[in-house]
Amino acid sequence: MLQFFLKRKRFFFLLVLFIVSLSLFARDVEKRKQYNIFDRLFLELFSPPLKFSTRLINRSLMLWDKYFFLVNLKKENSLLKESLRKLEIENMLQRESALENRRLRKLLSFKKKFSYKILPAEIIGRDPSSWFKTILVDKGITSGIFRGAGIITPRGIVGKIINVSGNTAKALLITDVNSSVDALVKRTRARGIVEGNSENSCKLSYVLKTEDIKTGDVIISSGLHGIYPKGVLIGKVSGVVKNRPGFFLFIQVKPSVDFSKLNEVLIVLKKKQP
Amino acid sequence: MILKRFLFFVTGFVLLFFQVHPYIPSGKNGIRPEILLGFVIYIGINYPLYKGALACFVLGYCFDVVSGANSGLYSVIYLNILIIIKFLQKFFNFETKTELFFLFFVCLLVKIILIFLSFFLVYEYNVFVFKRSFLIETLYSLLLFPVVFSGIQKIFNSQNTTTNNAVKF
Repeated sequence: MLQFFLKRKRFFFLLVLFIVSLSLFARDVEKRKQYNIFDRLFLELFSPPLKFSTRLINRSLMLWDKYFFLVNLKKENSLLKESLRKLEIENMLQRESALENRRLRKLLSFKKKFSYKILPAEIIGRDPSSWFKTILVDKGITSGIFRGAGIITPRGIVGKIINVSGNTAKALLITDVNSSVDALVKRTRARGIVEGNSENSCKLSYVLKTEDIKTGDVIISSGLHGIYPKGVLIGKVSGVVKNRPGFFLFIQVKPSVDFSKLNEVLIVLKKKQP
Repeated sequence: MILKRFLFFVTGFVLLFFQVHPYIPSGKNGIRPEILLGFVIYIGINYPLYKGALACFVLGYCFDVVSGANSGLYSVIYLNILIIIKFLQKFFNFETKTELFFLFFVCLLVKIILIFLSFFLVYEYNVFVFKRSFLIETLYSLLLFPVVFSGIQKIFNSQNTTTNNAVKF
């Protein structure tokens, strides 16, 4: 018996590796597990050179922008001042609305359940395969990041954290086929789920054919799942197909974030109010 | 021997580093060339089955840690590619550029079929949304394959650690 195994030890070795790989895969399909000790060890070794090189390139690019592109600075400065003035006025009006909102909420005895803490992070890696849409960020458990935390930019929703190690975290982008975000159409308040389709675009599913959706409609987060604050921009409707079988519309969404130019993100950490 | 093994792991580490790095130019929709496949092919041609299998398993595992793929997917893919290479070595020596390009296409095809199968059977997705990604990735990988493969050959041949039976690009 032993000789039988010894004679075929190479075959059995290969078989063991296959079984280990397939069982890892099956385990992950059932429920995406957290990083294990080997994953964390590998990431702790792998992420420092990535962080170092990314920061070096980012700083160099920043230096280039700061010192070598001063030509248009004056013009840009006056434009920014002008837009700042407009924003100040808008801000003042918004503040008034916020105060009014707070007063009315008090009157109706509503309680705001959550507030959000924002943590900036740098992208240190992108998915090595073309089939999945994930990014690696330079913050991990030590910075208070947890699995399921949302990722946004001032332009809109980016994705959510799916795995965390000590100093690194992996995030799933909203364009990945595994991603889904509860969303609202801003104009009509129609609800649906924004799902990725892996081609840098998304689709808004489960919107009834009776809803009035037009190309150019703005899609925002509903805030229902608690991952993202309510009203964060997701994208715009780029196409609607009504003539198809079933109860729902086929709505194509163009994300507001340009994922190819993304360098820094904001991680949304939910913080319960006392 | 220690230097040889060290070099082996450093090569895998560096190739994965380039595959993951955010500033490495990628195509539309973030499509990247498959750099590691060149190393897997080199391992398949030059290393015995079980040493190669262990290396492919480790490479695939590390790939899965940094990618959005489920653990084990790329380990299975690279192990399958290794078996295909070992099978094809019975009929070809892979001493000409044509043979190497043929091998590269076969390996890429095996990878794509396994990815499509996993998407179709496990996740029940419409795999045709990926057809454009497949074509672009094939093109990028094809352009980079001679560079990666000849680079790996130069590194390992300078150490005189492997049998020099492969063609120079």
